[in-house]
Amino acid sequence: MTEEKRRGAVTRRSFLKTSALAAGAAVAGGVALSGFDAALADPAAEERICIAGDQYAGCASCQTEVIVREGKVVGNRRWMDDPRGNRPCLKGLAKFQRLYAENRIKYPMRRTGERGEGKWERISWDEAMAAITEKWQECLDTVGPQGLLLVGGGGKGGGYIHNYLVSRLANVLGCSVSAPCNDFALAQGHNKVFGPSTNTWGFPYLEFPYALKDSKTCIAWSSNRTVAGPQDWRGIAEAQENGMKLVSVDCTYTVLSQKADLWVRPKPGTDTVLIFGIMQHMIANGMTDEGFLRDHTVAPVLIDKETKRYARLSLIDPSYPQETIAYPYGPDIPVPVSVDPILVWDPAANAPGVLGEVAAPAINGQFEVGGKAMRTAYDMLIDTVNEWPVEKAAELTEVPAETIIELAEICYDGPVYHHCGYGAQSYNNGVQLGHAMAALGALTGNTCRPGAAINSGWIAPAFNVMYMGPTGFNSVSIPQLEIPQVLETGKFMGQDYPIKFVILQGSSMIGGGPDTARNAKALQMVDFIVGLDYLFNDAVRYADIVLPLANYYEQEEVMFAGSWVLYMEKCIDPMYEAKTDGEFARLLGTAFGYGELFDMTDEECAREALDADSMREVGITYDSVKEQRAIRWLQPDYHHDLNFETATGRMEFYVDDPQPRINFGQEYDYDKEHLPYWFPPTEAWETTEEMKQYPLVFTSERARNRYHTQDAESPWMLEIEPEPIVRLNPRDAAPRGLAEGDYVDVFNTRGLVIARLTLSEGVRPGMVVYPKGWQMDQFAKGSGCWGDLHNGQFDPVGVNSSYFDSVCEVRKHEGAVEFEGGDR
Amino acid sequence: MTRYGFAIDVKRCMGCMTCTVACKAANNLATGVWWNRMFTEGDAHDAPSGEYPNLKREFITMACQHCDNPACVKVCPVGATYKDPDTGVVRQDYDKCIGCRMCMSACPYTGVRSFNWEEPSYPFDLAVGDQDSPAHQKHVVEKCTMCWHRLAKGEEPACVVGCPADARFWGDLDDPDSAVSKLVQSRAWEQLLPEMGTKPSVYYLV
Repeated sequence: MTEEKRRGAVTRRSFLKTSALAAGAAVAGGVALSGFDAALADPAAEERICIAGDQYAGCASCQTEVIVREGKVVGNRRWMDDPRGNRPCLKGLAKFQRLYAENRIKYPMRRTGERGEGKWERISWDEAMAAITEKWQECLDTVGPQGLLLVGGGGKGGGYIHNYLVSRLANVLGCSVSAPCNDFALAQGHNKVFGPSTNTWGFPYLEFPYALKDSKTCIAWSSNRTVAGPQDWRGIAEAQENGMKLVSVDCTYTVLSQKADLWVRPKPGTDTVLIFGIMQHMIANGMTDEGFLRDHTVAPVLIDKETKRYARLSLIDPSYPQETIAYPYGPDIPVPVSVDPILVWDPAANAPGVLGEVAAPAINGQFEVGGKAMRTAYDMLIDTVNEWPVEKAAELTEVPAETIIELAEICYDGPVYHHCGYGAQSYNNGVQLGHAMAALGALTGNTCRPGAAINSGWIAPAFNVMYMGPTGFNSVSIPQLEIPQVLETGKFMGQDYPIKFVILQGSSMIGGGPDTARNAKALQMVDFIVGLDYLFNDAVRYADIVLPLANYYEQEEVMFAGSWVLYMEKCIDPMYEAKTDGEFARLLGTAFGYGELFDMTDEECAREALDADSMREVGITYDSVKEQRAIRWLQPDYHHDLNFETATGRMEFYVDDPQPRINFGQEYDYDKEHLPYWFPPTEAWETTEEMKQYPLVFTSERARNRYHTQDAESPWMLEIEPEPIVRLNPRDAAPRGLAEGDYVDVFNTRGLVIARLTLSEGVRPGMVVYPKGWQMDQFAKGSGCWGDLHNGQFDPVGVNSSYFDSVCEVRKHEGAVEFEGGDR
Repeated sequence: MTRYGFAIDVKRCMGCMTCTVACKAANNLATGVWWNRMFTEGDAHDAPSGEYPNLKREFITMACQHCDNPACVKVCPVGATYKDPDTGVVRQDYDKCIGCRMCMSACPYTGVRSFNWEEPSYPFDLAVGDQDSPAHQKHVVEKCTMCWHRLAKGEEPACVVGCPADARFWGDLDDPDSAVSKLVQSRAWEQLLPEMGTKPSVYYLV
């Protein structure tokens, strides 16, 4: 049949009117449209459009028109009325394909072979729940509730209803939970300076990219929004077209580097030194705002040279410290507080005074107070920075001195929006980068005003947290990176801590996390493992019982994303025997004897979670968000005021009492953590034994067709990139005898991956770059997965996955390359 | 007269390939068939040209250029490929097509057409895509229809509506007041293989 016949004799003149007629005819009897191919839709079939999106299984959780025909989801289209204005990218247009993935978990299954062997038998939900309840009782009887560890995962669980209902379950049971350890180093560094915040990742928030309209420059620090967050590019491009300068600091020539006015390529793991070089030039040339430093930072605070701590009034006034009572948690909860004001130097009186009381304290100088030698915090910072004069910084970072000076001039001539990605912080020195960057912002007061920001993460609205934690107590949380150690030794924080029972929700422990092989081995030491997901991911294959969960289109959800709270419509009923995460939590909670706390519908869950003044004040209720689909909880022009969330209310680039991100009794160098400092990456540095043997720094990039491990099975995405590839600079390929399209082994002592090589001058010599997100069974036979090669070591202060702090070698693969299910 | 065409802002284009997937989705393209594809400069996909630090990379998305002087139309022995006189859209009549593939060899824009050697196959046993998109047939040549089925409903082509970079524009190139005409008038542009004399209706804004 021709288009002509289908369409009738369409002419320009009758063009627009024809469609309505054709539709009418189709409904009346399908005369003009008979003989449809079986592979095509029946045009007479009723089409229903739902507005829904993935629930954290995508970079922006774009809401799309989800097309439903005959009870099946058959496509995604841009939702033209989206208040966020999002235009779902290729991943968003293929999200529906995940419903029908070949590895969809259809019904509960019990392991019949060895762990990880892949042999299963189908069981009923009742049988599964009976086995789980028995193991829970055994766990309670032998080691107590904390012997159950719930490992959460990004990308699957949903939002307020489903994910938080699982959190509620963990809270009610009193079991152990995992604390995520991904992409937190930079934010921890920012947190040190800006203060720990309950609802942001360590920075005064300024909406990106909206705020760029006021920025003179945007410096993207190893951030490739064009691929990692394509919804942001429109805003960046618009600002650039209106005169904003775009700078990309990245080891790799990314798409954003290609679009930038200036691309800076530091040596991997040295961005902190680049910032020191910038700061050194600024300080040496008076390119600072001394008023801001004096009034809004700890620059004037006197530091005791011996203890390296803030000098306090008790040094000179024996009536301090004084005890008092504060009520930070409300009028019923008194908290004893010790008051010992911080000292500064008052040049007018030529005497010490109290921070906040002295109008114009000195920010430079050496003083003696109470018989102790003192320096100002600013001088201490200057000493650190002066260790890296521009020329020396240029030598280490391999960024030309004139470029460092150009960057210094850009930073002085603000406002600058420092937008941070997660690449440069993916070495063990990542916290230092965040700390140094925030200190750089302090020099000119480049924060908390239009267009000026140091931004590393996201912000979350306050909601009714009691919904998640009705007991009022926090669960014991084990940092995800420490879990293998806990499983191997049966100890946590120096005490016996046996884990008998693990629930894996999603795939973040294996597949998304580093040091895959060690995690897989550690899991073997657990008595009983339950895996939850809707696809057979890399983690659930180690389970004893696997349960089929619902996909995002099979459940109603309310969630936040950036400045918005979103409503996701349920498009279809769960397929096969799948149940939602929330339903799983209800079943388990009820089976374990807490039925009264779980006797609530999805709608009741959402209503309870949103039952907070902070939500009501911005007009967000279950009803309003369901009606409007997306409501802002934060206005675009919001910016934080200069009252920072630190103890001093100032930017604390010098930290009085530096603490790790998560304290589980680990050792760290306390004295060094007051100020930012640079140390080389643990493995990925030329002087290490590992790097002498394996000379290439092993790094990843975001793939345009996958969101972490999401979308890896979608057929359209696989057509675009059918197999794992790895990028190498031609200069590194030539001496190894490697050519475009070769199969290569990428390997180190921890593992080996077979991938197809592609050459790019955009890759820095001495590095490999692999697009991340492949599942294990998608690699060639005999290959491991990318996570196998990761170094599991982590910085005790950041407690963060250092995905790039590893090295590898690349060689031509010998022998045939075969895949499960045939050629790619 | 009316001549529908595209303006594609290469400075804005981030090579995300959403347009290629939007096309695939709207038109329910079979496995292995892409009417719109993304190319990069350099030897390999996504690789820049030049040597560090002077690297250059641009993304070119390429589909049927809906030429004003189409080479394909002249060689089709049965009139299956033709230029719609009222819109300038270069169209294919699948029923008339005898599968000789003369149009494919005559078209200088290699790869914008594909030939269904086998019965088209799909990833799922499901009818996806727009309900009113044309059916795919064995032994015929296919290419971009400019989303004829969407134009008929007063909608823009799927690749234009879907572009996350807001880099793709569609409209009447013969109307000086249309958005595309204004872009072509105000921006520097390039066309693909202008020396072939095909007069493409796609302008790449550079």
